[in-house]
Amino acid sequence: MVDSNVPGTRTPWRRLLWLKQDEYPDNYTDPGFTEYMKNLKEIDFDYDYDRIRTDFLKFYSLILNTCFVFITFSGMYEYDYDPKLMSLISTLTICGFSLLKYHKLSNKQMKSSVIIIFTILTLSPVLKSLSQTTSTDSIWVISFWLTIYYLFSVFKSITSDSKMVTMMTTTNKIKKVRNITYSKNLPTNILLANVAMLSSRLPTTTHVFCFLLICIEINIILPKLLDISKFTVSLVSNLIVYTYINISWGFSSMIIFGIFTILFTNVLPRVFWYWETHYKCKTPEILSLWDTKTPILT
Amino acid sequence: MVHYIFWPEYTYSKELNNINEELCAISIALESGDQMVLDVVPESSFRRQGPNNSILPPYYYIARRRDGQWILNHDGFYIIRFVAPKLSSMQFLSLEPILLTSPERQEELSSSESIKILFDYERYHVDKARFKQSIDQVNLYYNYLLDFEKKFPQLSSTIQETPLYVKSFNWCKNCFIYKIIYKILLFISISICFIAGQISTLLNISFSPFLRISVTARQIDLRCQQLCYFPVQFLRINKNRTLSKLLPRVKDTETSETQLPCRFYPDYIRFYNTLWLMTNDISFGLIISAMCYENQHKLVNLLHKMIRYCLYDFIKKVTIQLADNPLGIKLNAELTHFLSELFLWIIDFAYIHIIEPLTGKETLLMLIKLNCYVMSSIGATFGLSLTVDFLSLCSFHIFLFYHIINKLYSWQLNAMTNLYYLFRGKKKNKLRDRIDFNYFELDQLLMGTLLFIIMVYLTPTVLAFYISYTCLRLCLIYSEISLESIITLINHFPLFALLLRVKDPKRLPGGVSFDIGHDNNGTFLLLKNNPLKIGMLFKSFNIVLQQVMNNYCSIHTILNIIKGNPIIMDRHKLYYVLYSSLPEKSVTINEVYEQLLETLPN
Repeated sequence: MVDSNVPGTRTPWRRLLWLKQDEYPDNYTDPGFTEYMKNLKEIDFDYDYDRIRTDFLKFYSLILNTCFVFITFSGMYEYDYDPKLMSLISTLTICGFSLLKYHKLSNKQMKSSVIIIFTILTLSPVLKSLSQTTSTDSIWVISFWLTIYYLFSVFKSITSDSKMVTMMTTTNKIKKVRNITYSKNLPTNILLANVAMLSSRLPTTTHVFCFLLICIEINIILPKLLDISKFTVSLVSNLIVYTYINISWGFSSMIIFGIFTILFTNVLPRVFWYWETHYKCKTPEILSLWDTKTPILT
Repeated sequence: MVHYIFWPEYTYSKELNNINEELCAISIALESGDQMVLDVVPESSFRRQGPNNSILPPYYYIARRRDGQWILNHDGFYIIRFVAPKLSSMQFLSLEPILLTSPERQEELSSSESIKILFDYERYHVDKARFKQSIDQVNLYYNYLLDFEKKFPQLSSTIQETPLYVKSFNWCKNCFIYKIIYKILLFISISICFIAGQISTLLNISFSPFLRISVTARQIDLRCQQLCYFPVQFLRINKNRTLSKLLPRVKDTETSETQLPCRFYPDYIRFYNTLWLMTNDISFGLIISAMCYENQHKLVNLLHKMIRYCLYDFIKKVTIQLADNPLGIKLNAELTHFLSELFLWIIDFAYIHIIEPLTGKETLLMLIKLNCYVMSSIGATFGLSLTVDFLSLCSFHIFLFYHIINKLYSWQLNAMTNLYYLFRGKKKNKLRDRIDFNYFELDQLLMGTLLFIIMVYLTPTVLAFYISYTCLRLCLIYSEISLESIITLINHFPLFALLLRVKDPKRLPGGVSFDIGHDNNGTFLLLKNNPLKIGMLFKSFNIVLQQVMNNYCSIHTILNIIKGNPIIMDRHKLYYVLYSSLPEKSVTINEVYEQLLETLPN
């Protein structure tokens, strides 16, 4: 037994939970604790404002993109637009973009698109009748919550994307692939669930097929082909969304929506940046867990 | 090492009669056992016998009494008093509880693996060999005493007369007519056994579905096996008799366990238990059949209405209700429509081809008469098992519904779990039995997701059908099990053992214990028999009850239902414990025949 009154005879105490330090009682406080706390280094957070703004813009353009689901839906449900024409336009657009990007269509891409189209074709009558007995109100409510969930999951996927960029420099490639698969699957699936829910309200099977096709093209394939936060793309989608709001809800709603947009793209990033740099605790060690998060096995 | 003297209690009362006389105790000691006092004789008659050396080992002159005080001839002995069990009235002492099940089945009945390992552990081994030897000696006390009295007639105080009835019985045994009757009975029983054995083997042919499906077949099989086993049991009991006659002449040593007559007492109990139960069965059958016969028209009307309502109208109502948004839950119209159409079609089919012809009033009347006849002639259990079979035949459509919907549900559940992995971008790795990340192509992902969503939306519909039909099936299983438990009670109730326990607990030993007593000779131990606990008699019933509870009404059942595992009624697995009084393999008839012939009086 080591005499506890004589300092120096025992191994110095370490601030690690997973170490077995039998020589010290459970409620042991190191004499150098306050000294240590005083001398903690203050971290100066220096966030890149441009990057925050780009992220917010990205998110904004994703919200706009999601709006297309509802625009298409209400176009068919409320205004009786011709679904074939709409789907033709979107399909041609997608084809054009993919030709532009890949120059020539490969066999594999053809196969996959044919499979997708035929799957949708087969399943659209089933999807149409799937939740037909459910009341319309409950469909709206479920759809609303699914959209919210979708936006959050998409946001998470964007942030994990940007995290991944930083990780790529340090860790190996396998991690990167895993991260991508995680981040992209969930939002895609939630979006599809939402679309399947909504499609039960459409009048015919053709409507359902076209609705599904358009939604998949715009929300899943298009973001893969081009950067939707690019200026031109963003401009086009902004134009369409605002026009739609103007037509369906009126000019005043459009103004309100516009104000919100400006707040979201210009004011909110600034507030966020300000809070992050000025109000965040400068010694995170006090607030964060006592130990480092993962034990280092020796 | 402490030495013990086993001292029979009744010799003390003998002392009291001639309190002033000087007595001496004669004991016997076999090779490895302790000393056991055989008799207390007056010192005077002992002296008359001659000098001390006239008593030779294994007999010893161990103690004498002076002024009402026993003085041991050697020091270092401790007295254990005992009430000598009468082997002639089948009392005996035993260290282990008496086994009422067949020894070869005992392995299956005994508790879990871990307990067995614990028992095998060195530290828990107790060397009971010496004590066991002494207990065996105590069991054979009266035999040794008889032997002693024959050897030294001058010392013995009582002379036993052979009772008159034994004499007359012995005379009868040598009579000519007795031999003929014996022979005829033997041939009749052997032929019955032969037929029963053949039926049992026929029913037990592997892959034959009878025993699994039909309760009646099981009942016939059980009765046949019991009949086959009777001669074997009879032989064992008989052999025991001959053995007990021989034993007094065994002078010393080698009273090994195999020779002890009490080894066959469990067989005796089992044999008479089975016989009694069979008689009971027939008397129950007579009562029930008389009651049924008297009220047959009322019974027919009741059954006709009940079966039609429960198995046709009610189920049809439920199925139609399910198609029509039950409890306000919005189900998928197309699927409900399809499923209820399918089930309604099966219901109608079953009604036309099974229920209507079987439950017509005239058919029912005929069936009840047949049942009464069977009950009164071979026993209530057969009638009850016929009823169970009738019930399961009539409710065949429910069985079908359950299995159809169970398959559908389990397929859907399985597909949904796998698609859920895909939903999260994962995949089950069969080789390593774990869930891995996986990169899916866009078309795979879309197709999987669409299928998953369809399945998710269809789940409530399938679930509604699944739950209602599972409930129906469970109700049916419960009713069948309750009827079957009545059958098992009549078949396997330990009636004989229970009455023995009440009448003479010494015939059902469950171990021994010691009490401390005091008298003017000092402190002594009193050896006592612990009768078998009542719970032990019902051990196999407890096991069956627990199995039924585990299989059909526990959290485990609910989990199984949720997981979509089918509820199977495996009667063999459920009730095999109760067959523990029967041997695993029946003895060949030839062997039994030859051995029985040997028992024939010459």
